[in-house]
Amino acid sequence: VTEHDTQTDRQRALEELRRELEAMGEPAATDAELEVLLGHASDHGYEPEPVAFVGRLVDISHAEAATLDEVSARRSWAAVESRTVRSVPAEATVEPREGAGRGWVPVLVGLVAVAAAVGLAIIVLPNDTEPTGAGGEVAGREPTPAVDPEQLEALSAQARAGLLAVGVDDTSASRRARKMRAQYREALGVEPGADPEEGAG
Amino acid sequence: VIAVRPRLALFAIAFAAIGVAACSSSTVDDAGDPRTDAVEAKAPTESSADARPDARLVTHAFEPSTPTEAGLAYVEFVADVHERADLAEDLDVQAEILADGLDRAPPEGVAEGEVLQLELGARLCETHLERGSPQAARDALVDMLDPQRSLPLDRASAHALTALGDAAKASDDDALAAGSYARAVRMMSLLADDLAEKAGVGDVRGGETP
Repeated sequence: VTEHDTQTDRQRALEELRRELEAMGEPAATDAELEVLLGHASDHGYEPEPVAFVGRLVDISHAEAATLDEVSARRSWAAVESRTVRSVPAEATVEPREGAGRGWVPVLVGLVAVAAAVGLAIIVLPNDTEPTGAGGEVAGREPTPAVDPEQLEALSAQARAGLLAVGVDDTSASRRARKMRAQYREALGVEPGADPEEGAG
Repeated sequence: VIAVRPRLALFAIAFAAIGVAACSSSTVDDAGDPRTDAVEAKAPTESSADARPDARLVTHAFEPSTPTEAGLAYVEFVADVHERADLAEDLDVQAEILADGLDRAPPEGVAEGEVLQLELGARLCETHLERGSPQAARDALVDMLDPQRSLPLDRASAHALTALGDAAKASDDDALAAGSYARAVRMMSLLADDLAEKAGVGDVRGGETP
C-alpha cells in the first residue's frame, strides 16, 4: 500500500462521512470535524459506514418513541443488532446500565435471543412437519446436517444472556439456598442464623 | 434479579418472541431415543451427522411448599453444602462437596428440593468444567435433565440446562449441547410467559423472577 493509496482511501472515507452526515440532515461538517469523526471511527475499529448506522439508531429511537409499536420497534432494533453482532462481543450486550430509562439490558438480551433463535430454527426445524410412525420414528426423515458450530455458539450466547437476565450468576445458587433457609426458618419460627447474607439475593 | 418492572416487561416480550420458534422446534424430536442421539453424537463416525438436537421440554409448575421441619432440614443441608463449597478453594474439594450434597435426596413433598437439586447439579457441572472434566460435568446433569423428565418451571432448570449445554459442548457432544441450550431458552421463554400471567395482562408483566 503506497502513501498515495492511503491518502486516497482517507479522502474517500472523509467524503463518505460528509455524504452520510448530509443525508442525515446534519449541518455540513468542517474538514477538522470530519477528521475527528474519522479518527474516532478508526479508534473503535469501525469503518465509516457505522456513522450511517449511528444515524439510523437516532432515527429509530425517535421513531420508536413517536410511532412504532413494541413489535415494530423490536424488529427495527433486531435489524440494527444484525449489523453490530459481528463486531460487538455478546457479553457487552448485557452489560448492566444503572439508570437507563427503559432498561436496555432486557432489550439487548432479547435481541441476542432473537438472533440466536434463527440459528435454533435452522438447527432443529427442518423435519418438523414430517409424520411419525406408530413407534414414534420419523417417517421419511432426511439426513440432518451436523450442528453448525456458529449456530451452537449463538445458542450458547443466547442461553447465557438469558440466565443473566433472570439473575443467575456464579453465586446465585448459594445465595438462593441461603435465602430459602432464612425463609424456612422464619416461617417455622426458628432463630435466624448469623449469616449476614441471608435474606438477600 | 430484575426488580424494575419495565425491564421485566421487555425481557418477557423478548423471550415471548423467541418462544414461537422454540416451541415449534421442541416438537421435532418426538421420535427416537434422545440419549441414543447424544451417544451417537460423541462418536466421530458417519452417524454423528445424523445426530439431532433433542429440544423436547416437559415442565411443571413450581410452587413453594408449606415449610416443614423435614423441609427445613433439607434446605439447611443444601445451604450448608453451598457454604462449604464456597469456602473450599480447591476445585476437586468443591466438586466432592457438591457431589455429596447432590447424593442426598430431598424429602417427599418439598417442592424446593427439586429446585435446590438442580442448582446443586448446575454448580457441580460448572465446577467440573472449571477443573477441566467435561465428561464428569456432563454426567452430573444428563440423567437429571433427560428430555423425557419433567422439569420445574424455574430459573434453576434453565441454569442446569445451560450448564449441561456447556458441558456437552466441551465434550464435543454438539447435539446434546444444542438441545440443552434450546431447552434452556425455551424454559426462560416459558418463565417469562408465566410471569406475565401472574402479573396480569394489564400490568405489563411486572413482578419478581421466581
